[in-house]
Amino acid sequence: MDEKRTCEPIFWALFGAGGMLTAICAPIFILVLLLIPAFVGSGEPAFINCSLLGRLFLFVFISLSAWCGLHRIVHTLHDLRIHWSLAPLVCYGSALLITLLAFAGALIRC
Amino acid sequence: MADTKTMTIKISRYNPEKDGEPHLELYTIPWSEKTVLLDALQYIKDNLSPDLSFRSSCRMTICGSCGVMINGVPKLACKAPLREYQEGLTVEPLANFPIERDLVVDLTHFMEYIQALKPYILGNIRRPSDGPNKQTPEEIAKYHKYSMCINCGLCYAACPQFGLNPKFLGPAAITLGRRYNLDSRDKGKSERMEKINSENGVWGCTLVGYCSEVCPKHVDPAAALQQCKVDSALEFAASVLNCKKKEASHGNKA
Amino acid sequence: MATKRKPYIREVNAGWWKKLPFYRDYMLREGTSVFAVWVSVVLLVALLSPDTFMSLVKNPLVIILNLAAFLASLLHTKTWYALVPKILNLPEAILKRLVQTLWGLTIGVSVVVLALAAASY
Repeated sequence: MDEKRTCEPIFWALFGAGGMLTAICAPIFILVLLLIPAFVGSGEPAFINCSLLGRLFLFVFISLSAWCGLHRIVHTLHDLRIHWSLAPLVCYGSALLITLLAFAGALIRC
Repeated sequence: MADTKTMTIKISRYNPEKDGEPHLELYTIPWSEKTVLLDALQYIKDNLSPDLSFRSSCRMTICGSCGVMINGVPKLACKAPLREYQEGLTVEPLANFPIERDLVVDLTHFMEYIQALKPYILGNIRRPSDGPNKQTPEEIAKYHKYSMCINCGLCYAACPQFGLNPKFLGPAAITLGRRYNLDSRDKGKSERMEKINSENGVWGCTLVGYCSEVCPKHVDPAAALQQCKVDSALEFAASVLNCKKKEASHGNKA
Repeated sequence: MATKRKPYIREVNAGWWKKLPFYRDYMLREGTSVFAVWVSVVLLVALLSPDTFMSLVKNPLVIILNLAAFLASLLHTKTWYALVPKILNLPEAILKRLVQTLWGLTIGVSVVVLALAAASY
């Protein structure tokens, strides 16, 4: 029996945190940040110019939402019998890239 | 008995000495409001097809021997009244296990995994002369639900992850491990966690949740496995911290 | 003695989840992850390039995707709260209250965010 330890707990913890945060915030964020600006207002949306705290919260949301979604995608590929050995590397790598870019984006305009 | 009702049911048959693959056969059987599928299987064996193979023992949802797929859903034949299947009934052997013959499957994997999780009290040095090892109602409540398992294997037939990867230790075995990990008399948690922590341990689970849906004893294996994930994640964090401590102490010596 | 055993193994194919409504619901739940990543990327664009973001959210195709993402996020919230009690070994009554608290928190956060947004438009 294979008793090799895995790094899964790290990704699972990020998935859990992301799942919880998006369960609370995602519906209203999508409504207010993505759907309403489609019909109301022009130029920069107000939430981009909000406080550093607001932008950091947006960074956390973007990052955890990506970790949560991409973790599920890794497992769904397995569920669909798509055996792509690079899938975890590509998915978790993308989540890390999104995290770094979002962090830079949150700080860049302060 | 002029008004005896009859029903035609489909049963999967497979004879390893003759058949290349399983096929469905039709049987017409008498039934009443009280007839369960296990009665029907016994009727077929006694009257229509003496070579029909299936497992059963207690006839009352205690032994867990008579698990089959009814219309694709894992069920105990003794707990499945025919009156609920008047629109049609197809009986197949438990999914995700190799078929030995007819409705009999090979449960070797399942049995091995239960053994691997050591579902018995470990490391308790009490002797009979110490008297009974008492537990409070609160201590019992922690694991009581998980101790109801009858090892019927329905949760393995319900688990797509076990189907996709037969090395996955699966719902019942890990739940039994959890049951003893939660027992105040047990000292074997770290031994079991070695199995639970592995890739084919609890991390093979994606919380489909169908195991808890089909369990005839309402054990809720899905809950036990999620709690094992929390345990395993905490242990993982502790082991990372421990490594750092060890490195630091090595550094101090040098 | 030669064995007469010949176990028949049923292969699991990629379409296994179509067999039962429960499995389909599971796949739908897991499928919301695609939209979680989509939302993450669109908001990332907002942080990095607000102008691109504003033209992006007004694109009809993006509006449709965002609407789908909104529905997916509601499904995620519903399924997530249904499963949260599984990770806690606590009495039924406490778990029920916990889930009610989570829904209350979600509604509270939504009202606050909506009020903040209304003030800024």
